[in-house]
This record gives sequence, C-alpha cells and structure tokens, in this order.
Amino acid sequence: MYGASRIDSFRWTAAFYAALWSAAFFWMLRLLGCRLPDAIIFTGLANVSAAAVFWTPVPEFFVLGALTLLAPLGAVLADHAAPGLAVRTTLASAVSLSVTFTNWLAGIAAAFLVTTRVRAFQWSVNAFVIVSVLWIAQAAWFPHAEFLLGNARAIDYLERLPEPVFTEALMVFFLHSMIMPAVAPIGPTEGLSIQSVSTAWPWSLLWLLWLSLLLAGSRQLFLGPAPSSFRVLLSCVVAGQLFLHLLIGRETFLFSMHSMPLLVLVAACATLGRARIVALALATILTGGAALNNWQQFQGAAQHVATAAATVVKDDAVFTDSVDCLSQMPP
Amino acid sequence: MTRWKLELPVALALVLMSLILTLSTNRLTAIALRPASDTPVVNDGVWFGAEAVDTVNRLTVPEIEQTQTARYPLSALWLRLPARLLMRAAPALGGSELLGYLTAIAGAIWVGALFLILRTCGHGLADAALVTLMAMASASFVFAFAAPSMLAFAAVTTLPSLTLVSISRTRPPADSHIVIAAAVSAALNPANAGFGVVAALVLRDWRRAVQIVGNAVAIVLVMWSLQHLIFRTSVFPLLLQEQQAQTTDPVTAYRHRRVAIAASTVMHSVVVPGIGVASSKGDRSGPIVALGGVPPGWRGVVTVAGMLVWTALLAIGLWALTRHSADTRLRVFAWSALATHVTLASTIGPEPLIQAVSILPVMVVIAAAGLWWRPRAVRVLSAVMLVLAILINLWALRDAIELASALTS
Repeated sequence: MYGASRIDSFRWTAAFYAALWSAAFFWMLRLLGCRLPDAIIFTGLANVSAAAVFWTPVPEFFVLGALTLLAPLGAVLADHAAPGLAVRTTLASAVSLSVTFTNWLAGIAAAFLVTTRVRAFQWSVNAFVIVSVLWIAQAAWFPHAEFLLGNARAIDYLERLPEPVFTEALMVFFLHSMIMPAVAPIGPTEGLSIQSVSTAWPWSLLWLLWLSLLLAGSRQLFLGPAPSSFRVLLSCVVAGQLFLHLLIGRETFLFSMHSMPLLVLVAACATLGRARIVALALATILTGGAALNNWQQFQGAAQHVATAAATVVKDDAVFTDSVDCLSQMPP
Repeated sequence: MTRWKLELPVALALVLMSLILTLSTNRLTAIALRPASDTPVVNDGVWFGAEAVDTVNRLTVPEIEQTQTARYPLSALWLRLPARLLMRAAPALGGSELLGYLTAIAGAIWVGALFLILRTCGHGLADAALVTLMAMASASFVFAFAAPSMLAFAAVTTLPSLTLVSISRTRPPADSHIVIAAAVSAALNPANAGFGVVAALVLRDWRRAVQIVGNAVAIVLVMWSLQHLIFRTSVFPLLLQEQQAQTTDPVTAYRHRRVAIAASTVMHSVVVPGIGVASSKGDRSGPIVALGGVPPGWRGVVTVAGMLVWTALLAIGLWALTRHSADTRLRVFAWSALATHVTLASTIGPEPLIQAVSILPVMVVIAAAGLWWRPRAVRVLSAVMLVLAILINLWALRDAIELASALTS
C-alpha cells in the first residue's frame, strides 16, 4: 500500500471501516437473537440505506462514529448473557467516547443499566481516563489536536446554529436517512441539501414500507423477548439522537449515519415475533427499493458535486468539508 | 487542654511571621527583578530560574496567552482567575504588588500546613513550632517565596498528600480525600503528581491506588477543560515544545551533573553554600542567580557548620524513621517521595533551590522524626540550625538581590 495516492489510501481506509461497521452490525443482530438469514437481510438493509450509501464513501468520521455507537449496545446484550463484567462495559464506554463525544451518552447509559449507580459512575470515569490517556498519546504525534473536553470551537458552533425546523428534522431523521429523496442543489456551485425537500409519491411508497417495518419493530422491541436493559438503552439512544438532530437544525442528514443503524436495529426486532416472515418480506422489498433509489440519487449527487468542484472549489459547498475527495470519484 | 488552647496562637504567630518575612523579601526582590515598570526584562529566569516577571504577567495582564498551562496545568483557573478578580476589586493594586501578596499567602499556608503536619505526626507543640521555624528560615522557603513564581504556588499542592499520610496514624482517610489530594498535587506542577501517587500507594493496596490516581487524573482533566473554556489560549499539559526542550536540554553549566543536582536538592535546601551566577538558555537567555556551584561549594565556617548540622539532623531523622517509627506508611511515603523528587529534580534540572521547596516538608518531617529517638539532641541541633539558617540565608539573600539587580539593570 506504500506509494498509494491520498485518495486511494482514503478509499481503502473508508472501505475497511465500512466493512468493520457492517460486521459489527451483523454481530449485533445475532446477539439480539435474530436468525442468520434475518441478520443478513437487515445488515443488507442498513448497508443500502441513504445514510450508508452517502456517508461511507466520503472522508468523514460518521462511519467510525456509527461503529463506536454499537459498542455500548453490544456490551448490554453481552451483559445479559454473562453479567457483571466491569472491563467489558468500561471498554465499550471508552469506545463510544473515542470518536464522537455525544455518543458517550450511550456508553454512560449502558453502564448505569448494567450495574449500580456508584459503580456505573466509576466505570464512566475510568472510560474517560482511558480515552484521555490515549488522546495524550495521540497528541504526541498530532500536537495540534484539541482535547475532547473544553473545545471552544464546539461551543462557537453550537452558538451559531440556526433555529431548527422540527418537521424537516423529523422527516430526515426517520425517512430520508433510509430512502433518499431527490437531492436539491442549493445553487450551481453550491452544496446539496435535503433538509427542506418536498415529498413525492415514488419515494412515499418506500417510506411507507420503511415506516411499517419500523412500527412493527418498535412494537416487538417493547413487547418481545429483547432484554429489558437493551430495550431501555436502544430507546434512550434513539431518543437522544433525535434530540440532538432537533437541536442541531442545520443539516440533519449530516448525522444520519449515527441514527439510521439504530432505527434498523429497532426494525429488526420485528423478526423476533410471530410476524417474522412478513417482516422479512417487507425488509427484502425495502432493501431492493432502497438500493436502487439510493444508488441513483448518489450518482446524481456525485455528478453535481464534481461539476461544482470543477467550477469553484469551496470547502463548505457540500454537507461537509469533503468536497475535494468526493469530486475525484467517478460519477 | 492547655496545649490545645496554645495551639491556635502558636499557629497564628507562625503564619504571621511567615507573612512578614515573605512580604518583606517580595518587596526587596520586586525592585531587583523589575527596576522600572516599563523596562522590558529579557532575562526573566534570573531569580534561580523562577521566571518571576512572566508569572506576574501571565496571572495579571489582560488578554495575555495562558501557554504556561503546559507546565502548570491549572494555573489559569486557580491563580489567574482569583488574581484578576482581586485586581478588579482593588484596581489601585499593581500586578507585581498583588502577586507579592498572593505569594505571601501561599507561604503562610505552607507554614501553617507544615505545623499541622508536624503536630499530627505526634510532635509536641514546642518541637513542632521549633521545626516549623527552622523550615521557615530554610533557603528553599526564603528564596522560593521571595518572588512570585509558579513553583512557589505549586509547593503548597504537595502538602495535602503529606497531611493525609500523617493523619492516617490516627484516622484512616476516605478514598475521596486521597483522590482530592492526588488531584491537587498534580494541579499546578505535574512533577509534584508523584506525591499524590505515592500517598495513594501508601494508603491503599495497588489496585485501589490505581483507581484513585485515575479519578484524580479525571478531575484534573475536567478542570483543565473548564479552564480552557474560560481561557481559550491555555495549552494542554505537557504538550508545549518548550516544555519538552526544558526537560531534554538542561542548562549547559549543569549538564552531566545530575548527581550534584540531586545532592544539592537534599543538602542545600536548608542552608545555601553560596550564591553565584550560572548561564541560562532559551528565549529568556542570560545568566541566572544560582547556588554557588551545585556540588557542595563550601564557603566559610558558618556555612560548613550549617551544612553539617542539617546533614546530622537528616541522618538522625532517617535512622529514627527507619528503626524506631511504628508508622510504616509515613516512612515509606517519606522515602518514596524524596526519591521521586530527587530523581525528577536531577532530570529536569538545572536549578534545584526553588523546586526543593516542594520536597522540603518531607525532609523536615524526616528530620523531625529524630525527636522520637533522641529528643534532646535533635532539639538542640534544630535550634542551632535555626540560628545558622537565619544567619546564612539572610546573608545569601542580600547577595542574591545584589546579583539580580546587577543582572537585570
């Protein structure tokens, strides 16, 4: 791999983490109690979702964030099988903190769900210290790295946020993260947005399928055989992600890679009940539809970004500052 | 009952004496280190490498970068914030004057805490007062608290760990107290963190000690983050290139003389052998006032006598602590803290005098341990040491101020 260009090295890295995320998601479904074919279908669904199709190819931290968010959920499921292992929960909490600070809420919640309050607090402190020590080691190589707490730029970012529009954020959170609507270029040389896109019938049909699956999964999550600690944690994490999406009202799709796998996990719970076959059928149809639609939308978006980048390179033109990389990809 | 009635007046008298001493010396050094308010001082480390002018500026001047947090992690939160608030409350007070007061207060806390530690170690009121006076007249105390410096403030942070170990003789401390003491020890000078770590290891089994140290690290990091939100220019501890340069490139004159620096830390912290000038380095380049040759540089009969008496006191104390003390924790703590500090001082270098004020309470506790074995002899030696220390160190202080004036003018 030595001598590879920057874009090639990124592609390999992105592919590696996307594969790791897929494997972790599959393992999570199996831990949850899904059968092998069910886990394969729902892993496929997560992989063809709009969030995965649009975020796995760009140089961003969302896939890594999504991967680390699975660790506390996995720890809670593993704790159900073999309870009381402090190291496991502490490490899961540290992993959840390692990429995105907000994901640590899942790690903290996991600790509080599997042990007493005092111990959970101690485990969370230990996770913080582990990540801090690793950060200090990292700072030896990258001296300009900012410490995870007390980041003034994050405060500035939050202060400059626009007023959130709840209906738009809800639409993106629940629907667009799975099925991408027609991507709307803001201008000929500007970025893309789906924040205020209007709905249309071809997508509405797929959204309806997805919502049905999601509702069936939600019902089964609360009434089915899933461990109560997992049930509470998944609900809390989804609610927490939703709160964050509503709070940060700029471009909700930006963080969809974190929330979408959680929603697919909820949907996958539908296979744990009597309506497993129906759920599998719905999921299979949805996977095919989502794959076709999202790939088509991705091609259009990539074409637009390539054109825009050729006209003028403006780093904040797309959702993220990754226009350089994305523009070099084939449409 | 009578003793307890006397306890508070004696402690207050010691604190008052400390305040008078440090305020007086601060006034003298302020003139020497900063001849005129608008004079740019190129050679700031002139006072035994203490960077007095930089300390005053960092803690009092508005809008100045807080890069010193790389070496003194919570200095902006713990020192600059109160200093700036005090300056707003009393606008007539100059930065240098205010820092002089704060340094004197730190010195008073140091003296009061040392007296308390000696009392909790089981020494009588008169013995504790005598040994505290001796510590107050020591070279490290006189020179460290004579000018504002981060190292002087940091010296106070080692005392909670020593206090907990001495109190543990009668009352075992709670985990939370050890965590706080460990966090405090690392707050202003990471080199002092060893005190907290050693206290945790002495007071608890190693697994619990690791957990306590981890919690202390978490507290310091959270407080640093809070500090970073208030002072956005603050730098993460140990990450500044300057810090690395300091630890890897000691002053040329002292390079390869680590044994001499270690010996000087122990031997010269109570009586200085003499005052001289050494070369310095970096952006504050220039000569600095330093101990007159780090290897025991004997200068006069009185100095030799002072060194011998201090050596005798330490030797008797070490013997008593090793052979006669029932308190294993205090013994292990004293040995480990001393070894850790001496190792660090000889690694970091170059001028051990100001840094030695952090370890001085441990050395004083070791010396005072002799009172358990040969009380009369140690009392006499301590009294002689007190007189000699006053004579030698005040004489050396006059020399140092003259030298500093010459170097900064």
